[in-house]
Amino acid sequence: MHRPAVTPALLLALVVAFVAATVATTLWVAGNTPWLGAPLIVTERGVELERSAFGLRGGTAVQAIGLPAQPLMAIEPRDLLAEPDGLTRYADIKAFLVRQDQLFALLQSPLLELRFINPGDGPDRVLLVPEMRPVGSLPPSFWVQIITGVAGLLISGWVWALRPRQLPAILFAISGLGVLLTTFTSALYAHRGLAMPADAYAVLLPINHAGTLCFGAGLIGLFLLYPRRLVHPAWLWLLPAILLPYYFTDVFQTVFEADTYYNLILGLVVAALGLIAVQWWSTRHSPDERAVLGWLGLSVTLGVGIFAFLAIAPDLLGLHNAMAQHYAAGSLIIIYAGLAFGLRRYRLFELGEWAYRILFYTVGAFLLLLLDAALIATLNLELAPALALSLLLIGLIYLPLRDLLWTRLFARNRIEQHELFSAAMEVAFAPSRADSATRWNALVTRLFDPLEITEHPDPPAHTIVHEDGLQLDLPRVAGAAGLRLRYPFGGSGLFQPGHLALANELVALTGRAEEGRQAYMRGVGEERRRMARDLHDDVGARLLTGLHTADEATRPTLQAALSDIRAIVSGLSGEEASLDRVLAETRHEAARRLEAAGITLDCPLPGPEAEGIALDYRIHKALTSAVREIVSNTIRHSGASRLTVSPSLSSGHLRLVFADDGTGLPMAAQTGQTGGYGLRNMRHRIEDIGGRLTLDTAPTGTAITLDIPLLLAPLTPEPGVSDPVDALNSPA
Amino acid sequence: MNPSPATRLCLLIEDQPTTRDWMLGVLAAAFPDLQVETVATLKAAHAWLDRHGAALWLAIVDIGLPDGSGIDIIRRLQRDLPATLPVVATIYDDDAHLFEAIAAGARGYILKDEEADLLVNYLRRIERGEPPLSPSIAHRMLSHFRAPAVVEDDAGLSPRETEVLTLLARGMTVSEAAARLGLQPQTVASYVKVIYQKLCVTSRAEATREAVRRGLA
Repeated sequence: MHRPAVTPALLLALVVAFVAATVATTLWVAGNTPWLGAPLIVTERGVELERSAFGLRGGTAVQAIGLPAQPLMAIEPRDLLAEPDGLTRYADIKAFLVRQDQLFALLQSPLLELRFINPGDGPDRVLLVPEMRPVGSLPPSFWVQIITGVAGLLISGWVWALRPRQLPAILFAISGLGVLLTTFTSALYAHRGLAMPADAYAVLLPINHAGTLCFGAGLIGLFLLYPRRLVHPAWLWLLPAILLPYYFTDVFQTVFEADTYYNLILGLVVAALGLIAVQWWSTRHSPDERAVLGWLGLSVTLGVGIFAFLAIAPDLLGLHNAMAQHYAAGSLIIIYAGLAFGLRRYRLFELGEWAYRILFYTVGAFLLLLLDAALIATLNLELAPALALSLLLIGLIYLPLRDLLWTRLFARNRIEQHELFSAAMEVAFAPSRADSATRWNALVTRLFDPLEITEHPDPPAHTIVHEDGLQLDLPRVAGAAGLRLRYPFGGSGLFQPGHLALANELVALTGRAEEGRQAYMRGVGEERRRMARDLHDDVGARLLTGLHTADEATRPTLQAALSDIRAIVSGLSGEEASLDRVLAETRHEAARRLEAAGITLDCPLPGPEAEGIALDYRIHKALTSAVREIVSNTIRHSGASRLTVSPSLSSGHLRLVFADDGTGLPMAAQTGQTGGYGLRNMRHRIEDIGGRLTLDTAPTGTAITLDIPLLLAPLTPEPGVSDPVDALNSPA
Repeated sequence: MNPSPATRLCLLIEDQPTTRDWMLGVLAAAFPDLQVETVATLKAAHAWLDRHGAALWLAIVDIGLPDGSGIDIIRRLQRDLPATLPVVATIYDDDAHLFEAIAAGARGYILKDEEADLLVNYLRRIERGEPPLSPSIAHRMLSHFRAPAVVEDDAGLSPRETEVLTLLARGMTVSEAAARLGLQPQTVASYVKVIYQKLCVTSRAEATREAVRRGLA
């Protein structure tokens, strides 16, 4: 079965549009209901003015309302009831609605009389003209409910847009939709200007109840499946199977009484919290699932707990606390805000950081379109000069700015054909395999801008598009692992056949470049091995023969020549001489020789700071032979029992201080007349590479300080190319 | 156990006459009562082993022989004559050559351009069962034993052996490593011997696996 693929951005845009439309509708309805011009409240004394109005203080008791010069209708506290479903019996609700209808009829007349009790120094009755309630006069509690609804659906809808086929995400979105339906409808009738027609209640109350049931059922379903699947998903059908019949009895106000509704909601909430506890127990052996539950469960428990305490408990306990109830909905925001904050850290619903990007992009795009709409709406077509000026401003300032923003946010990087080749070469000829992988990653990111890029556990042999264009799998290329790209173009597009062809071409190009490089490397390696073998077998053997027949005076020269050949050969075989390896090797050689001569060596092991410093061949050689010479002198001439070496490494410099407890070096050793190169010779070699050798000899011991520059940047990569030039940065 | 000194037999495989003479001097200095036979080619060495191999105690093998690599001899000794001590003598200390020889079963290596007295010392140590291990060889061994195939084979090193190898790779001698770990030098030397054997075993397994993979076996 084939389902058309929709991009997350499109789904999210739908969610945002839905939220925007419901907000607009709600505000329009709220702004098109008549009111008295001043809010009334219920206190223990009865119905009062909330603040001073009509020349009366706030707190003045309101008695009745009616048409001027006709019998008035008393205003009862019950008429101001915020939530009619707080009444426990359907009969009461019906009576309430009858009075609402009467009051609403009054609000629609052109002139009203309002009578007060004990108005003090003010009039005991005023005449007023009912007007449409301005949106600006709505109290904060209204906006708290609206924001809660928006946040609930926006955040849960965002998760759903990214994981549209995952049941937990769907259930979570259902709960979010429930929050929006509940808070928006409640915001409308709880903040009515005295009355709404019974017909309006007939629409709003069922929507409100449906929302609340969706919220409860969504959470229960969520915690039945997430983070650990407690039951088979088919069991979830039980929820609508139980709740839908009840819902219809509630809408038609039969079978049960009105307070069953609150008991049911309380039951759902307790069940959701109970399921969190069950999840807690069943994830006890799985720390990552436990972490997910810890965050999500805490958010839900807090949000629902505070809500239940503020909203449901007063009703069940028979308290009338209207204000608390309006703000109570705000506590549900904790659930969704908690999710948004914990999403990346705990990988809730397996989402990562990229999820935020898609949210910001979609909301950003939406706001930009909204700005466009607002601009068009405010264009004053009546006044020609103003219109001309507006058009000029738009042309000169707004459009370029908007274009810039749009490009910044949504532009795709394109790559020209001729650049493909250089890009492939850069990947294949990177200095190291790791660099190849980095460059390959950067290239595909640049081309397809996927939200999610992961190493493919089992990479395919060819590029493949999955999930109708949501996912592209790339094979291994030139040292880089196989990659899985998901949600291309910032989540706003799909992998099209053209993209697949492009990816194929790129893989093939890079593969060919890699083959070329390998052939070249094989050739180089072959040639080097041949040279190394010749050096070994011919020159080396001759030198060795010479060495074994030479006299004492020429032996050191031949030994030095052999060790040079070794260094050259190891250089040819591409073995990298890093400082820590050279120091280890040098130390080991010195230790062995001193041990054989019965001299204690006191020399720390090379530390980790020496790792990764690549040594130039000449420096490697100079260092090794200098240490060899110093050790030879100590063994032959010093009469010491201990040699202490103190190395220190500072930026670009190695200093080795050799101190023995012998009787000092004889002159002959210093000038090199006793075999070996002699220290004088050694000093020249060290100075040749820009180092220094200082000697301080005394009858109590000799101290030699060797200063060697490490001058060297990281080893020049063998047949690589320099860092990528910005060929891809040219405007496409 | 080792044969009594009087009957100890050594085969020196070396094609350069001067080097051979020099090496004979070194061997005489190290083991005064050793009986040394010399051959110059791989072929001659195999022929000699066919006849006298069983009595062999020590073999000094040059890697670069005119008719092939001395490593063939090492393999044969490891396979057929496990009681023999095969030692590589070479002018090249690069780990690639030496590692191959050690993996084939060499129990030690000596550099032919070292000072004679130093070599005497090395040979005596090899005799005592303390194979030499330079830092770069130790380093290479560490990476060999870290390879996934070896780890999977369960033929890897014990933590103690890894510890010893790490110290050697950082430039310590056997006795220094022993002092650092609070062990006797002989104990550390025995660890090194075990490491040599494990290397030999695992590299043979690896070679077999590689051959199977290529369809050669």
